[in-house]
Amino acid sequence: MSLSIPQGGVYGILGANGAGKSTFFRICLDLLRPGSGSLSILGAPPGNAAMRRQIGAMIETPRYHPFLTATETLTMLARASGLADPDVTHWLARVGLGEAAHRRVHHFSVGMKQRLGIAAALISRPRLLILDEPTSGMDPAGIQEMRALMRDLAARDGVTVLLSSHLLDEVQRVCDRVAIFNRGRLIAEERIDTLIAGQERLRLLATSQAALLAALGPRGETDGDGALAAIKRAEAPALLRALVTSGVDLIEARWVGGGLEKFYLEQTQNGAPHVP
Amino acid sequence: MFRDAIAAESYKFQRDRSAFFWGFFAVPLAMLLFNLALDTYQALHGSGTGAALRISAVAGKIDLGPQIISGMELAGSSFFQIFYVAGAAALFAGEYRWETWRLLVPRNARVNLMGAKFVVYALACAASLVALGLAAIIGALYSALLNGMAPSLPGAGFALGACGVFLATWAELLVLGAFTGLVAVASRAMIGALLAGIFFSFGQGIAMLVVHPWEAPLRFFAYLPSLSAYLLQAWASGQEIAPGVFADPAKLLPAALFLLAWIAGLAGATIALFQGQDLSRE
Repeated sequence: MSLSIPQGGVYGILGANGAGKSTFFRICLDLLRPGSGSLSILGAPPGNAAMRRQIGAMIETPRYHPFLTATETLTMLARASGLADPDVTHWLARVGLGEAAHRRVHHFSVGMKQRLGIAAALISRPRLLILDEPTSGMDPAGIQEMRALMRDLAARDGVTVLLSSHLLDEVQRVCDRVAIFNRGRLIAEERIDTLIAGQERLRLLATSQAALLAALGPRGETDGDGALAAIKRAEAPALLRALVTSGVDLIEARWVGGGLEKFYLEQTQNGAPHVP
Repeated sequence: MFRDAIAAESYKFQRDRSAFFWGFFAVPLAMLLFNLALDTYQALHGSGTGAALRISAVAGKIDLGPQIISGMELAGSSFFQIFYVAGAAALFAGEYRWETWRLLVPRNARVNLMGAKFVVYALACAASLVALGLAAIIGALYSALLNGMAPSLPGAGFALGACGVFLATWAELLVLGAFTGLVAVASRAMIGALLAGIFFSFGQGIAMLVVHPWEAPLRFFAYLPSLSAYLLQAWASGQEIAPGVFADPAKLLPAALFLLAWIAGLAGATIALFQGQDLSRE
């Protein structure tokens, strides 16, 4: 495997369980020493003292010392990072734990632990943020907040966010680029809009399916009671005008099948590797 | 960075009140309460002599020096070392138990994080020994009060002897903690570290029942750190190791070096093992 991740933006790492995502993250964080090969993060090898302060991470659902409160947990971790003035109150408020600041972490729900993990990852104001399943266990509002936070960090603060998630819809919404791992190998790496380009079809529904298919000609194929048109988005207005002009009574037109999920499943189950 | 790791470890451990108290301050408190209760009982029933009087009542006065030394020597007892082993197990195996290495390792070097645990353990043991000395003083003052005696301050040579006893006992506890730490890292289990530490302590205690310090060859002092510590304690406090027999001065330096070698060897092995350990699962 050879992978180079550009600085800036949100980068997704996808793969089934056992694909190697967590192993990759753990090597980045010096939790696991690679048997061979090399890795450079922000220009330094994993474990480099200067590099450590520039990385924030949350690996899966984080565990904490049950005897510490949220404030004490962040204070302790900030001390371990050598931070002189960690704004603990600010970071707890930012992740919505302001009111639980002095409660023992032992009593926290999974979602609250996730939020605390995000605060712990951000407290050193890192240049690189590694998040492994960050929204696992969160409620819908929390998931939305987390997505907004990731985009905000990348866009406003220039943080490079490395995200792993099984929620492909979430990845598609948040990430700029993705890499797909399969059984320890890299099988795809590209911008998301490039990966899913050309996979979308325009699904049309008309009063007469026969008339619709006749008007579409070789570009159309049957799909239930409607038809799928293999065209690019830019061609849609002209096609719709032509259909109406030719007397086809349209009921519905919508884009389908262009998601990351379809591409991911094709790549990991059947398709050939897509590495540019 | 090492300072940061110590600051974090110290902050964390002081808030683990259960481990902090039972590991390092239950023994001084128990000793104090036991002595106070014994003295009170004997004063009320007018029988026997109080704990402090038995140790150092001379000419109507209670000498605080021997009280302090005997208090610190208590930490050398295998029974009381169970508490120190428990404290060390909680400290060294805590991150495995709570699965929290993943929070700490990305923030500081492994050698610093493990080194910080040794420093915090060493400081906690030192504080515990000081607390033992203070508890002995309080007990002696209470005993003096009950018996209408005056406490007397230690003589001029006391400080050196007390320092010697302190260092020898401290070193013995450090060997015990380093051994417990090594097992904690190797086994990743608190209960494993606890049991191994207790066996280590009682194993030496049993061995010392048959190995007599006045006749044991030098290599036995290398095998048994408790034997080396005992010899140094006896020399520092001026106590006999057998009726009319004092510690052989020729064995003092080797005994001290053996203790240092045990500490360095066990701590070094722990850090070396931790350096290469796979922490993808604690």
